[in-house]
Amino acid sequence: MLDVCLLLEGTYPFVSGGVSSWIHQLITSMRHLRFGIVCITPNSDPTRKPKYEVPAHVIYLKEVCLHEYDLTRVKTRGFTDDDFACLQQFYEKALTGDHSLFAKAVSLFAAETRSIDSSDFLGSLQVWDALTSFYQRYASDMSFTDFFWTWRGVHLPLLEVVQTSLPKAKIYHSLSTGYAGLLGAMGKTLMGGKYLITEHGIYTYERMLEIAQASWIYEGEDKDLRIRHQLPFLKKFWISMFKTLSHIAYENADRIFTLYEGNRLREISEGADARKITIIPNGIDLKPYADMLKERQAAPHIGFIGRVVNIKDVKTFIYAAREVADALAHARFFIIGPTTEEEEYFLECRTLVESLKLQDALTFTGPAETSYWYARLDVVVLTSVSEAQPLVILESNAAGIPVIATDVGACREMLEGRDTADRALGPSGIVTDVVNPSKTAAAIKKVLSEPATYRAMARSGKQRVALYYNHDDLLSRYLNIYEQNL
Amino acid sequence: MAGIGFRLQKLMAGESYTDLIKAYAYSSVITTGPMLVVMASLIAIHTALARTLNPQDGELFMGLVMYAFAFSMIGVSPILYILTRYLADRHFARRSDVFFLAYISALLPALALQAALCLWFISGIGLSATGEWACLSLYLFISGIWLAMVPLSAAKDYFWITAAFVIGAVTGIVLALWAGQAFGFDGYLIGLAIGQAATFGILTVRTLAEFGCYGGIDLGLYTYFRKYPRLIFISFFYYTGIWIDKIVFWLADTGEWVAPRLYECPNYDMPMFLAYLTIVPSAAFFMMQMETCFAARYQDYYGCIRGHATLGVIREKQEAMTTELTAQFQKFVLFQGFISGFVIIFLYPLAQLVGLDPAQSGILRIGILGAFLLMAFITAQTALFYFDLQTEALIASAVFCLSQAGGALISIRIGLPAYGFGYAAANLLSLFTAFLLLDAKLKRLDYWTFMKQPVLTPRFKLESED
Repeated sequence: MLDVCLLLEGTYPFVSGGVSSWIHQLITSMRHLRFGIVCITPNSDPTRKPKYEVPAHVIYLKEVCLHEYDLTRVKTRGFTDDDFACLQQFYEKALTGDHSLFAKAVSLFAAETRSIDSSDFLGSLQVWDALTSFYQRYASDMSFTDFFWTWRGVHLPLLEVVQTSLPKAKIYHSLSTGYAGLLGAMGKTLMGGKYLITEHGIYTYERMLEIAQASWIYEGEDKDLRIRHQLPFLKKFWISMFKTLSHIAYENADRIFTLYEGNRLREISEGADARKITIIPNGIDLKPYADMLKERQAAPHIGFIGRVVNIKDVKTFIYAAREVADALAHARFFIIGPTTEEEEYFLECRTLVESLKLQDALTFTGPAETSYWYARLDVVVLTSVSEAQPLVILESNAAGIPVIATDVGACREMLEGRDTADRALGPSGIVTDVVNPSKTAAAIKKVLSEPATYRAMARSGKQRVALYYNHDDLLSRYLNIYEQNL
Repeated sequence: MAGIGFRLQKLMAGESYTDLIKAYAYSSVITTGPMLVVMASLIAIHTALARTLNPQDGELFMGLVMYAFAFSMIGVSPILYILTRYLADRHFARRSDVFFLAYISALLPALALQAALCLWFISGIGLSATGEWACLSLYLFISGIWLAMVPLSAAKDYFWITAAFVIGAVTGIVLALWAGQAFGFDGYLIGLAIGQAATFGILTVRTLAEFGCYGGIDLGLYTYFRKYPRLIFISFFYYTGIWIDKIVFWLADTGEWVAPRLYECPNYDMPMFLAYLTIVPSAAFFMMQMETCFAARYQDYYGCIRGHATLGVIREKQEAMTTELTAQFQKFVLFQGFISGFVIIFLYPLAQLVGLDPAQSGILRIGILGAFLLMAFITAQTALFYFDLQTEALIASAVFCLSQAGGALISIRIGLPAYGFGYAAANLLSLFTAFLLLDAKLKRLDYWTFMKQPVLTPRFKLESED
């Protein structure tokens, strides 16, 4: 019996990234618990190397490959008319947002109670009849071939997931909804464990963006060449499948955790019960900042820390730099971060710097050791058009640097405080509008020209990070939650 | 957000659509052609040649020719549909450049096996060395002809197929008459063999002229034995079924000893061959219909599936296709019914014309009805091929072969008045089998078309390939 079975999709230990690092920290900080991992990947890959060293107290590891369809026949107790009726009712009700038959429906596929296998399901005449009658009701004017392949494409990975036999565990913890959330709901209903969800990004929302842009989903003939306000049917089909998966996960979850308020609201709009949701932000390790020595510079140093890519809107920072330089001639600007990811965008930024005659004041440092810069910068600026919960704000604040950030993701609550007690600490920076160089410039000038404001912001930033974003505290909150449920 | 989720894959990429399309349709020429050619040739040879010899030599000659036709057909049958399918698939893939060499790679092993079989058979008959050579080449040329028909009928070159047969048959008979007068018994065999050589030569040269000869021996053909093992048995059962009733009559007490290993049953054989001739017109008619009207509906059906049609349209096309099939079947029944009825009414004058005795006339009458049912069975069987229902076709073929053997045995046990009834009953049973199997599939054709599509696992880039 495992203590915690982590249900992961496309992340740890095979893919590196923010979420994977978070998982690795979570596991390594709780060595007294027995962990298991079920990780969902698109396909098995013998040439792939784990990106993390999985600790020894992870005593169970299983990979579920979504796109390796196993059609071998397995022994079932037989697919009765009642079973079919149950499955059909589940689909009917799911269309109206009611997933109360989930437990019964999923048990038809689960190893111990299986009544139908993939081959039977995909070849069933009853399923075909149900499928065609669904088509006649909702999509009778669209290409049936594409409808059919979409139906199959949606169901093949689902069949792989619902036929997965989970290890027995006291807690099932998924790091997303989607397929991992489906496994979580199965852990809850079939295995009788507690089910927790932590969502860093909102799965449904991310899939929605992906699908809206996908070119591999048939959209039908564009007969009138008008701009569409609605997504084509098959895209809606995919999205509603993912929405259904999220609903099922939220409904079966005992508790839901996410990083910040904006995500919480999105989860609620996707059907999560507000009472289940708790915000646990990502934190940082405070130790490096405790004894960081500030090196006061003669000229104000203003930094942008992040990759030079479109979504970070570096150009707004450059325009703002021009305005600041007009007022504070000796100010120095630094763009600190890799420039190779979107080469073309980087070239555009360089051209912009030249045409604004900022060559002498502004430097692209390329990838750099951030602690070096935290010791030297006076203000950190974030002009992104989209963010989740950027750690650069926490790190800057921890180093006593006020931050000017656009009002996206968790930026406002990180700079102004989330609840009353947090807000009472005072702002640790200024929130501005997206794509607004003048406001950004004004904020930078304000912070630099009012020493009292600067000192207050630096102080409250340090306090806020220490109180609310201490990495160790946040991990121990998870430990508490685990212990409550063990 | 890093990592979570995948880029959704191109699960239903174009390649799975093409799988929806049955890449080929068996040419109905392959199903009906060889059998009719044989029967017509046998009648012609019987009337034109056998009777000019003395009765004993006449019987031996007729027996040898009959056996040559029968066993050449059964002998090559295991590879016949394999070759047909392979060429049809290559044709669909626009690779008709491999046709000639694929045909050669089917021909060589088939001829080697046939040669061994033939040498064993004629060794005990006591022919002259020349006669044995003539027999062997006759046998091999006929065997070759069955295979040589395949590439040309895949290309629907019916003109040259017909021309080759007519030229070969006329040449053969004329030469046989002339050489027979000049050199006796062996002359007949040599003349006939030259005629068959002409047919075989024309077909092969046409194949070469049409498709050219590129590359080396094409081994792709042999993979089809593994890929479609059912085709081996379908054609083996079918072509054996065409002959098994005669073979039973030869080997049972009804057979007459002509030479070692060579038995005949002229009472049964001649009326049966004549009966086959009555379906020649409807076979031609049916082939034409199948390859024009029905094929167009068939293309429509699979074409609209590929063309992003709605289920409503797909089902309409399906309906149109099955209606067309039913309509053609009805037309066939009327057309062939009229011909068979007409022949039965004028049976006695016709029987006297070809010199049948009253008992043989009786067998001919039921034989005509049997041939009518046989043609109906072939229609259903061809339709099974169109929808690539190999298992069903195999069942129908097996029923056909076994019931022919059983029918012949039962007829023999009952006695002369029952001769031919077993044949008709076997054809009726096979027709029912094929029809029921076809009907069951056609009713839910949309289901079979879609739900039975193979599941393809998408190919992903591995980490090492980045």
